[in-house]
Amino acid sequence: MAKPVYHDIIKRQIIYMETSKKEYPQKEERAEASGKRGLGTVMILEDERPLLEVVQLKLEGNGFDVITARSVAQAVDFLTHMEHIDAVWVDHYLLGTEDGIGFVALLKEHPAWRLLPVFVVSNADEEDTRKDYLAFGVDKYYVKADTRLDDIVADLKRIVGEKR
Amino acid sequence: MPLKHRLYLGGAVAAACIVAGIVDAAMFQVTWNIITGLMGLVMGAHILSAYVIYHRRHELRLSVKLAVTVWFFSVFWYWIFALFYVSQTLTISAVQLRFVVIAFLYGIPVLSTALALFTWFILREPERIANTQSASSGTVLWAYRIVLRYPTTVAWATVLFSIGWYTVAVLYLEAFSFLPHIERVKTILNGYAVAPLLGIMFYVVLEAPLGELRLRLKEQYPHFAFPRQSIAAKLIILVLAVALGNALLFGILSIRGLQDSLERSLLIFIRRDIELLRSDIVRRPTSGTLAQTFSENLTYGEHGFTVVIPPHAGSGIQADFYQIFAPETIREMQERATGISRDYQNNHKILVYITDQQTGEKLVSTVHLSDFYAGFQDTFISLARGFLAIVFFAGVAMYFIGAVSARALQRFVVSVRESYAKGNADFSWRAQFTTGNELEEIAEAVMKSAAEAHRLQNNLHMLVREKTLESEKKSLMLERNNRELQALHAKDTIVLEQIGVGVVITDEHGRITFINSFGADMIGYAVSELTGKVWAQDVPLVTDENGASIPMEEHVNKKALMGGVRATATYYYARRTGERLPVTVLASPISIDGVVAGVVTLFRDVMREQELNRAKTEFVSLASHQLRTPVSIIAWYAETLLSGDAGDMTGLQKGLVRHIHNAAAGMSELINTFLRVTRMELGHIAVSSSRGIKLSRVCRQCLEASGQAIRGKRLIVREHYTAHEQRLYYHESVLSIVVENIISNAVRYTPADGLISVNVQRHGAHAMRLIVTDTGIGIPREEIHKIFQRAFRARNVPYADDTGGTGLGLYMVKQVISRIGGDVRVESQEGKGSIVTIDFPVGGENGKAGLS
Repeated sequence: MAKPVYHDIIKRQIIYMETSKKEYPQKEERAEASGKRGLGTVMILEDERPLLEVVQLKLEGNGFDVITARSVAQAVDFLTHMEHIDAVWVDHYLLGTEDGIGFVALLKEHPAWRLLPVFVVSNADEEDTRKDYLAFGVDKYYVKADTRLDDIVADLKRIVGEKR
Repeated sequence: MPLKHRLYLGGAVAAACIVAGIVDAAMFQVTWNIITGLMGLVMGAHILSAYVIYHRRHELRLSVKLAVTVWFFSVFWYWIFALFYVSQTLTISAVQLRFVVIAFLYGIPVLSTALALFTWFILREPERIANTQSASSGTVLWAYRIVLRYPTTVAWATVLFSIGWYTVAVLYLEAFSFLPHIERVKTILNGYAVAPLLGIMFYVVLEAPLGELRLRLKEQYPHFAFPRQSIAAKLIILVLAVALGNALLFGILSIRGLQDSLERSLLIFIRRDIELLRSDIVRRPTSGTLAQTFSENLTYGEHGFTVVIPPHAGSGIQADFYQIFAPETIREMQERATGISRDYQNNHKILVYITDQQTGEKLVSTVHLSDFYAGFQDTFISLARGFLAIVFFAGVAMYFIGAVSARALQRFVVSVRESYAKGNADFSWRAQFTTGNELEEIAEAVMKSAAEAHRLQNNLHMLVREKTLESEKKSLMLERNNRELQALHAKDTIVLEQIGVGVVITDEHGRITFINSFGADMIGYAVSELTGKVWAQDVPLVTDENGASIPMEEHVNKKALMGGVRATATYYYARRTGERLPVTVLASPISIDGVVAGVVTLFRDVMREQELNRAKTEFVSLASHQLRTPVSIIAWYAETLLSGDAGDMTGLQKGLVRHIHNAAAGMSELINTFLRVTRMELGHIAVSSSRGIKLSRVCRQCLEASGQAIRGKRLIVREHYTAHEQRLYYHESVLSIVVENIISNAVRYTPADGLISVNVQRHGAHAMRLIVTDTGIGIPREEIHKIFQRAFRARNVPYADDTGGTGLGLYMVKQVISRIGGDVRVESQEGKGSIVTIDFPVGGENGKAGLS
């Protein structure tokens, strides 16, 4: 499988960014909408809407600010324009042509995003896929079906907490 | 007494007799009685010696044998035959008797001795000479060899010698006797007759050509037992030879008898005439008148005359008389009576004496014997012719006897020679020989040899026929094999063409000698274009997945050619159109006597395979993902509800949601198992690892994972791990699949308060053994053979299965264990429990041998 050329993605994101800047809610707006605050902002990149919702519910219920994205382009857009994101929750299969690996590679190449904690939460459990992610230096790799949300939340709390 | 001494004794007696005879004859006037007695003594000694020598003949050297033989036959001839002949034919006077004595007791033995000596000199040390390998012609050695090789030569030499010797000896001895001239001729003729006789004897005794032939046969057929010569046959031949000799003498005997009778009749005739004239003699007063009367009346030839010898010497007549006769003759005449005498000219004359009683005068009438014989000249000539005829016919007879008996042999020889010349010896020839002598024996021997040869020839023919049949059979088989080979070749060709794999056969230089059209098609060429090209160098271009050329040394066909080992690799061949064709290539060297003569390269298009693999992998990934997604949605929603993140629920509600959550968890596990099985079947799970792991650690982890269930059922777990554990070189996940399944089964199927024991021990030098025992429900006996089948569930698994089993666990265990070359066994008793024993080879580099 040929690897995507990430520079193209970035270029595209920049174009996208310029045209759709205004649509994205800023931190302040989101803070107002949410009850609990303070543990940090987690961007969830997940294509499956029901999952996205339950994760958002869970994380917000546990004191995280949550940004959700369903495609790599969207996620890059958020990263570029949001002031502060403390961790990234990434699924492998995403909407659009790019998958989670491409996104992680992008993150790790980018000087500003390189150190962001990355939690890969996917239902793909191929050894190769797992290895690829770990090779990029992701913090955690979970198989959704085998993992309780509480466990992920606990890890998030710990890692993001350490970071801050 | 040793033979030698006996021989000496015999020789000494004979010599004594000879000396005695000579002395006797010289000193005394012996009588016939004495001579006969002496001769009897000597004969007795000789017969004795002959007997002894004959019986000891094998101990004698050939030369000695020859000398002795010559001696005895000479002596016997003269003593037996000649004596008889002489006594019957000769009227012996005293002087003649002396000659006879000399001849018998002195002359003949001397002659024989000389012959023996001569022979002995010729044949001296025959063995040594016979063994002389080479001698240039003309030398003494050569002559000896000739004599030895051809005994006939000896016989002829003897004949010639005898003739010469007799002639000289008889003429010489004649001077001492007063035998008439005819006697000299007779003796010489006698010698001539004896000579061939001696020759014949030599011929027989020396075994002449037959003996030679026999010797040669013996040499050439050393394995063949030749019969001994028959003594009877020899005797017959000897008697025949003697009879022949006597027959030759017959002519002489006839002459002698004729001569004798003539002489007698002449004397009687003269005497009668004188008697008739007797009255006239008395009447006539003077001697002269009387003599004249006699001469006138008794004229028988030119040289005849009559004289009257006065009683007293010194008279005129006597003077005349002395002019005619030698004094010794006159003295003899005065002493002796009527007979044959000789005159001055040494002519034999017949003398007739009449003594006048009154006057004392002696009246002598003589007739020249040659005149007397003149009338019988024709008789002599015809007798000589008869003699010659006898000799001639004897020779012819001898020739025919030999020829007839030899002809059969000759036919055989010719037949053999011709068949040899034709290259096809025919030994089936047979002939009957009834010659009664050694010729017959030799013929028998030859016939036996021929029969033997014939038998051998037949055997050979049979052998040849057998071999021919065999080889024909073989060639038939070869032909059949050839046909089979051709059929096989045709089949092979079809197979090679239809196999669906590219097949390339290259020679020792890498040039293509064969490529099937399938292979040629694969790389986009025609077969004819490729033949003779260097495979993977001229065509096709070998590249890696990125299109970079792979160096020659990396090509498997090159490796096979240079290294002589099979090599396999997966890379890309460039098609003619330039597109890359993923291939798996297997190259095997063709070794002939350890030398790589070429390479067979098989290549397979793996594009489809790669695509299929990719599709499978993707399917599995996708399937797992797609299946898990709804499961995880259910699980996480249930979890969120339960955790109260979505608000509090009543106890009933919580209970219901918990069921949902549990089901989702079970579903997830089921999916995981299903995926593992699928992956294992696809071969996607890597088994070996370079890092060793302890089995005990895996066991502890698995027990820990099942800890909740164990505690829930209050199971007692006994663990025992050996202190001498070997690390296993497999992926942890692989070992986990096995151990986890076994332990979870034990936990799952063991009722509350049961006992589980986990035992890890060493098994041989390169394996570990895991034994898991439980007190669970066990497996029914009739189903135990099915436990490793996919989706097997024992019938005694509780109907309302709350065990969460999938029926895939043991199947997976079996798959893994088979893969690593281990062994798994299950013993179980329904209702009592199960014992699972698994042997893990150490694996990796340390345990390649696997389980023994």
